[in-house]
Amino acid sequence: MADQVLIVDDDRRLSAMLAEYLTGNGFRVQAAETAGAGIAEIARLSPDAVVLDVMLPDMDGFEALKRIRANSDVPVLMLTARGDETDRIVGLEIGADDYLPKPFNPRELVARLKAILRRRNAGANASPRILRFGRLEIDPASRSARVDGRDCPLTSYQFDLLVALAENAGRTLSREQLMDMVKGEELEAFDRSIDVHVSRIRAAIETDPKHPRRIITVRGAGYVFARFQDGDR
Amino acid sequence: MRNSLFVKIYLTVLASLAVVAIASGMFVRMGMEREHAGWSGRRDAFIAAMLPADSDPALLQATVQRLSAAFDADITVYGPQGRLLAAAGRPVPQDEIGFRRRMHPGGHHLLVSKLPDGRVVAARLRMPFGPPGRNPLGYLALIAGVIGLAAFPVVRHLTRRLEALRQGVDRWGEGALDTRVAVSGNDEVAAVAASFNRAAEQIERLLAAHRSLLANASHELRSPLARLRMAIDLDEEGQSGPVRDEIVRDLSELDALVEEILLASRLDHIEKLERVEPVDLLALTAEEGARSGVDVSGEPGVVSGDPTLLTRLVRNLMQNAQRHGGPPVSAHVRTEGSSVVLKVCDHGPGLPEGTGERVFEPFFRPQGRSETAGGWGLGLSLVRQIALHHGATVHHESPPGGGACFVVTFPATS
Repeated sequence: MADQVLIVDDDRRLSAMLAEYLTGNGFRVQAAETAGAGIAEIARLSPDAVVLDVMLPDMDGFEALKRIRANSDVPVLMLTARGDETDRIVGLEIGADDYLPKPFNPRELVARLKAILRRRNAGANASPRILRFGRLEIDPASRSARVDGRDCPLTSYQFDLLVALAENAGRTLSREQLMDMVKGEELEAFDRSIDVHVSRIRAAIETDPKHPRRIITVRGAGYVFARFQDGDR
Repeated sequence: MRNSLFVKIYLTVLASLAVVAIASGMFVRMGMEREHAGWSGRRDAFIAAMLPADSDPALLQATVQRLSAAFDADITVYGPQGRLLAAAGRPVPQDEIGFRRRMHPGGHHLLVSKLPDGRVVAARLRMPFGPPGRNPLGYLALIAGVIGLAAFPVVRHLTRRLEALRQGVDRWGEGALDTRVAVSGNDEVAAVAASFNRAAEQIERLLAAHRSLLANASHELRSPLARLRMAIDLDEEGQSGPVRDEIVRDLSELDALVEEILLASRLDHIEKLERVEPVDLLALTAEEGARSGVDVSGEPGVVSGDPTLLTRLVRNLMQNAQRHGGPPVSAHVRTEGSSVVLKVCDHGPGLPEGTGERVFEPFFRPQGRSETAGGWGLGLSLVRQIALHHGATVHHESPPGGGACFVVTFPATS
C-alpha cells in the first residue's frame, strides 16, 4: 500500500499543489492547516510521514514537533524559512528527521521523503550512529557508505578514512593528521598516498568527482569534509 | 572640554565678582579721598586757629604742649624758613616732612599741615587719627570669596545635569534607542530632558514600526514566491529551456533578496549571537569555495562564531566577487598574530576610486554599473553586519595588479 503523508501547512494553495504532486508520485496525502488539527490527524491516521511547516497560525513548528513527539515517532520533515537557524532543527534536540527550506523544488521534497521513509523501514537494524550528509549515509556499524540508498564500493582503509573525515566535518585536516587517525591498515596505508585514496573515495561518493562537494581539497592545508552537502543549509 | 560649560559659567561668576569688587573698591577709595581732602582742610584751619601767627613763642609752646597731650602726639612747628618754633614730645625731623601724610615704620601716622602764614606743623600720632580708616576693601574681598565658593556647587550641579543629559543623548545616538534620561526638577534643563525623552520615544516607535513592516512584508512575500516556484516546477508541459530557466533564476534572486532583508532585520534586532562555537574558517571557506567554484588556500584558523552566519559572510563575498568582479576569484585564510584574516580577491575592473566605505551600504551601486549584473542588494552590507557581530572588521583593498580584495579580520580563538 502507498505510504501516507500528512502535510501540515497553513498555506492552503501550496498544500493543494503539493498534495497533487505527491499523489502523482505514489503517496496518499492528507492535509491539515493548523498544528492542532495536524496533531489530531496524526493520532487518527498514524501516517507514515509528516511534512510540517515551521510557521503555523496556532503555534510554531518546533512546539508542534515537541507535541507530536510526545505521542508518536512518525518521521517528520520540516519546511523552514530559508535564512532561519535551520541547523538546530535536525538532531536529537528537536527530533525532526530532515528539513527543507522554502521555496523548495518538489522533486527534492519527494527525494527527501523517500529517504526518511527508507530510513524508517531500515530503522530496526540500523545503527543509531549513522552519519548523514545530504544524500550520503555512513554507517560505521555495518561499515558501509550509501548514496541514495546505493552502496558505495570502498576498501576498508578508504572507509576508515571516510569516517575520520566525516567525524571531523567542517575542520581542515592535514594529510599527516589523516594518516594518524587511520593507522590500522598499515599495508594499505603505505601502499598509496592519502591523495590517491581520497580520489578513490570521491569516485565512489561524489556526484561529480571532478568537482568534489563532499571532500574538498584545500591547497596548502589538506582536506575538508563538507558540513553541508546536497543543498543542506 | 568635558566641563567647558561649567568652566565658562564659573569663570563668568568669578569675573563678575572681580569686576564688582574692583569697581566698589575704586568708588570707596574715591569717596575716601574726597572726605580726606575735606577733613585735612578743616584740620589745617583748626591748627591755624589754635596757633595764631602773632602769638608769642611761650604761648605757642604751651598750646603745642596742650595739643600734644590731648591727641597723644609728637607735635613740631617749623617757621616758614625751616626754623624750629615749638615742639612737644619727640621732635619730628625736618627731612621726614616730605609728604603731607604717610605711614612710618612702627605704625605711626605723620600729619603735616602747612599753615597760610608759611609755618609747617608736623604731628606724629601714635593712634590713627582722622576718619575711621578700617579698609573696606578687605570686606569686599571676603564677600567675593564667599560668593565664589558658594557659586561653585550651584554651577557644578547645573552643569552636572547637562552632562548627564548629554551622556544620555550620546548613548541614544550610538544606537541604544531605549535610553531615556532622568527628568529631575522643573527648570529648563528638566524641560529639555523631557523633550528629548518624548522625541526618543517617538523615533524608537517609528523605527520599530519600520522594521517590523519590512520584516513582515518580506515574510509575506515568501508564500507567493514558494507557490510560484512550485507551480513552475510542477508545470511539466510548460515552457522549457531558456525562458523557464530565466523565470527560475529570477525567482531565486527574489527569494535571495527577501532572505537577505529578513536576515538583515534579524541582525539589527539581536544584541549578541545566539550560537557561538569554534569554527575552522579555512574549512568553512573551502566548503563554500567548492560550491561556488572559488579557489581556496591558506592555513587553518579557528574563530568563534555562528557557522551559519559565517557561511553567509563567505558566500556573499564570493558571490560579490563573481558578480561584480572578474575571474579568477580566490580566497585565502591565514593567521596573523592573534587574528584570523580572510581575503577574497577577484581580477575584475576593481572598485571605482573614492568608493570607500560606501560599498558596504545596502543597495549601493557604483556609478556607471548596470542593473543586468543583478544583485546590487544587501550582500556586502550583510558581510559587514555579520563581521561586526563577530567582533571582526572588514575593508577593501585595491591590489596593484588590478581587481578588488575584501579583507575580513577576525579575533582568533585560542
